[in-house]
Amino acid sequence: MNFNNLSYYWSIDSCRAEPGEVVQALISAIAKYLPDKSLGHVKGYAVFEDGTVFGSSTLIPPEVTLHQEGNYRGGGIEVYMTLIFSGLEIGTLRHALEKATEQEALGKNWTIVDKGEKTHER
Amino acid sequence: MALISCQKIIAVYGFLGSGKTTVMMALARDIVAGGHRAAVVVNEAGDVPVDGKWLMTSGLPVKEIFGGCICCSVMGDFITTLRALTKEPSLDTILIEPSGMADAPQLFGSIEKHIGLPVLKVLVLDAPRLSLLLKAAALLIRSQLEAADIILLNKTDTLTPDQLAETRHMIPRQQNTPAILDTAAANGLPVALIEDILK
Repeated sequence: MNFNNLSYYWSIDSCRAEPGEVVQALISAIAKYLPDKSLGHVKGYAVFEDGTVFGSSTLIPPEVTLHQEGNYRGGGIEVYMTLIFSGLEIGTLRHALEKATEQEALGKNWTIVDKGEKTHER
Repeated sequence: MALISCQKIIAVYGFLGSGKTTVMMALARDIVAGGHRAAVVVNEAGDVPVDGKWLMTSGLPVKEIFGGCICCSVMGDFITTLRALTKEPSLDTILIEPSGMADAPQLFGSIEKHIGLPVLKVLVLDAPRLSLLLKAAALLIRSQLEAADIILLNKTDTLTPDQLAETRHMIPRQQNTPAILDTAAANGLPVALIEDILK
């Protein structure tokens, strides 16, 4: 089997939602923009001052599982997301990430100070 | 040859999104609560290590190997990490989570060859997606089944009794296939099962 993966990050100065809601909404939006029943998963986390919230979902069904450590008391957050799928091109993964960002940033008044693909340099 | 201190390696493996990290978390919490000495090695193909970050919240030390798969592109890093951990006098167990795209049976062979310790292989199968996976990833799933010492059919709480019976029926079995245990790891694992894995 061939797999492709793409990782992305957002640095958000302020938004009208808790970090858990941001992670949940982003994963759901990404899943919506990927072909139905694709094999793989979307997972990520948001880091805030006193903790982290983790989230993941497959597309069958697209159902987000969240785990939060610590309480959010406001402030900026860093969000990281990875998509790993069999049979999907990188361009398809990138399109889903960009469309999801567009949708969520507009809907929740995000002030994005930085965003982009995340690359691990060994 | 250097002395090996660690006595046990447990690998939790399965396809992407099957619930491996959730199973690992349940094991890690039990290990911490029981005062055992363990470390986790988690592999993720992506450039952002998500599972390792979550597993760190269990309190166990976690080594992350990411940006490639430990069955091929980063196997050297993995074996080096594992070799170092097996010499740690403070550890009795090492938990391994290969990435969900790993050729796990090939990986287990490499561990046994290079490290010289047997691996307890715990396979996590995703019940709601199993039918699709058996069609789209038949070879991978069959080879995972053949290697397993313990098989967890996960997310069974999302299926009706009829769907569960149908799903169990479609799992290819051989003479040495171990019993298939129903789980909903997100709600915790049965104590008896955790004890069976960690004994």
